[in-house]
Amino acid sequence: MSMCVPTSAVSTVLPGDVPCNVAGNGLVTGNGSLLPAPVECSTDGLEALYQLFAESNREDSKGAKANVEARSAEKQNRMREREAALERARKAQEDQKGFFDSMGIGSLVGIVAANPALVLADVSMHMARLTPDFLRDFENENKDSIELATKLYCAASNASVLADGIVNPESLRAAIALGGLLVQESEVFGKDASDWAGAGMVVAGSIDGRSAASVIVADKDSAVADQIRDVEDKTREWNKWIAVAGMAIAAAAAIVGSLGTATLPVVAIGVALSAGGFAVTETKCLDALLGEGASMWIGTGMMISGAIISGAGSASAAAQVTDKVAQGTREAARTLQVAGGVVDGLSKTRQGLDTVADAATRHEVDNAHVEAKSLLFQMQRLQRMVEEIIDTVRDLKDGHRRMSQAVNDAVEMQCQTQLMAAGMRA
Amino acid sequence: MSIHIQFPSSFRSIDTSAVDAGGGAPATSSQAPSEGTHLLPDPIHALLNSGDPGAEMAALVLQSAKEDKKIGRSIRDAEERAQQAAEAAQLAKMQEKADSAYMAGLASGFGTVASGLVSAVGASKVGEASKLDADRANASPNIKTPASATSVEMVWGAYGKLTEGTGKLVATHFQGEADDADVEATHQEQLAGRHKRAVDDARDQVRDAKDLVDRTLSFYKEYTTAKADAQRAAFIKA
Repeated sequence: MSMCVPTSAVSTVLPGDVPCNVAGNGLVTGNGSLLPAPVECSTDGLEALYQLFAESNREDSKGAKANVEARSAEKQNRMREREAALERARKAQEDQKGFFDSMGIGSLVGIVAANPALVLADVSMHMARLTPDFLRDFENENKDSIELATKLYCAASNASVLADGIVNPESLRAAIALGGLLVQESEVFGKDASDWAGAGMVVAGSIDGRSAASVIVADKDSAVADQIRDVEDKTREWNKWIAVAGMAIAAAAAIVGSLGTATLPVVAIGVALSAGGFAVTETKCLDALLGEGASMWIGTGMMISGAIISGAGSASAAAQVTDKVAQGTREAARTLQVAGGVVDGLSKTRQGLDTVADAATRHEVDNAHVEAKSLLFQMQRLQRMVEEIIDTVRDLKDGHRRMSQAVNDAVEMQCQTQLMAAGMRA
Repeated sequence: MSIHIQFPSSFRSIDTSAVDAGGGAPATSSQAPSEGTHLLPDPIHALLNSGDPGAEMAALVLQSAKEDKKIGRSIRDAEERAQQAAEAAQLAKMQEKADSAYMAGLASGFGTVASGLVSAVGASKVGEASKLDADRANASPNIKTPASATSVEMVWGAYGKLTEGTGKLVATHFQGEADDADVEATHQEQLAGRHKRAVDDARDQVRDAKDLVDRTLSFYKEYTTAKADAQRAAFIKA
């Protein structure tokens, strides 16, 4: 019987057998198989089995390799997407816009139309990152055109005054404003100096203050805009204390208004309660004693009670005031109270907008982190798949090694038996 | 001819372990032939019916290892699915937390904005009322006139507090939802971790079963070799 056996698989080759030209040692060959390539030779049973397994092994290895490559490519894609998501989170944190940068085209229209509600709505929308995509794209793509439009509007309003005659103070102011626009556009004194000089001339000269304001707001790439941003950034931390100052002025005015009346202690208690409530809310000193959130609720309750008590005290004090001198004092106090109230109100408004902007930024960062986490899970899953495939290939390799060993043993035993039989016959 | 009888049986048993090892790929990555696509008859049954105690023992251990692998794989697949579900729930809760925290921020911020605007407008209204009071007092110095500014101040003050309070109330509601979602996300994260550990354990179980197969095959090989040697010695002696 002439049989073809792999030289690596057998230790003894029978005289009549033909050694096959195969690559052994259990290494993966060029075609990806763990076994040497089968050869076209006899129809021996062992050889047929060997060929069958080698073919199966080659197919498995090829499939596994393709699988690993596909999964690895997919994993690389996920990794890139995750990096992009994390980059988005970082950028969102860095790009938090302030009040000035949140003034879009709606704000410009609001300024020109003297409509503060429109300005506030536009700023709120931008700060809350609720701007519709088409509007945001329009504003970004037509930034220069919008800026030019505001300058043309400003120029037109000043030019119309200039047309009335050039020898009156108003015409002179209009001419200064037009000169300012020219300086800004020509950058005759250099970029920064022209920005400052031009803006100063426009603000000082414009007959219509609103058109001048719109020019300043529309130009986001000037030295003036940078300075506004800087000031806005630096005053953010002082905002709360400006509100406190406004409240303090209003409280002091309430006490002054009740001077000389029997309800002064009532007003004082109300003011003290309000101040105490504010302090409790800000310092959160009761959280440690009464649990999380206690300071906020108790502080708010104290502030509301304080406002009611001081309001009632002030009302009672007002009823007791009869003489004209006392009335005068009360009115002076009232003016102070109004001023304090306005300062407090505006500071609160800015605080609220900052809170909205912070929440919007946090939301964008959180969204990016959720996406990054999701991609991380997908990457881990793909990694596990790759490991599973590699384990499978390793198992296949072990299996084929065992098969090769079994062929080896079988052939060896067959040879020994034949030799023994030949010896016996001899 | 004894080798022809002996060889296929041992060979087939090796083949089974090899196919098993390959067929054990997880549902996610399996490309290897399943157990139902064996090209050869089941060798374990042949060994079990061989009447040879060594072969029968090897067959029993192989059968047990095969069962262990099967169970290990099904546990691993189930735990992997549970882990994926927990991870998906964790992501959903994280998203819910982000959305609720955003809504809380918006409610609180816009509440404060509204309160601030009401305060500012109220202050100017109080100023107007106060001026009116002063004008009335100046017009009739001997008559006690009602002070409307105080009532205006109280009304606008109440509006301001009401607006801010409403904002805070809504914000607290959303913050509560965000906190709940955060707690649930953490819980799901822990669940996913637990399932992941179970997956690792199941993988170890499968690996142990494979080791057992290897040891059994080694044993069987030694056993058959020793048996063949004994037969050969007896044959030579005869």
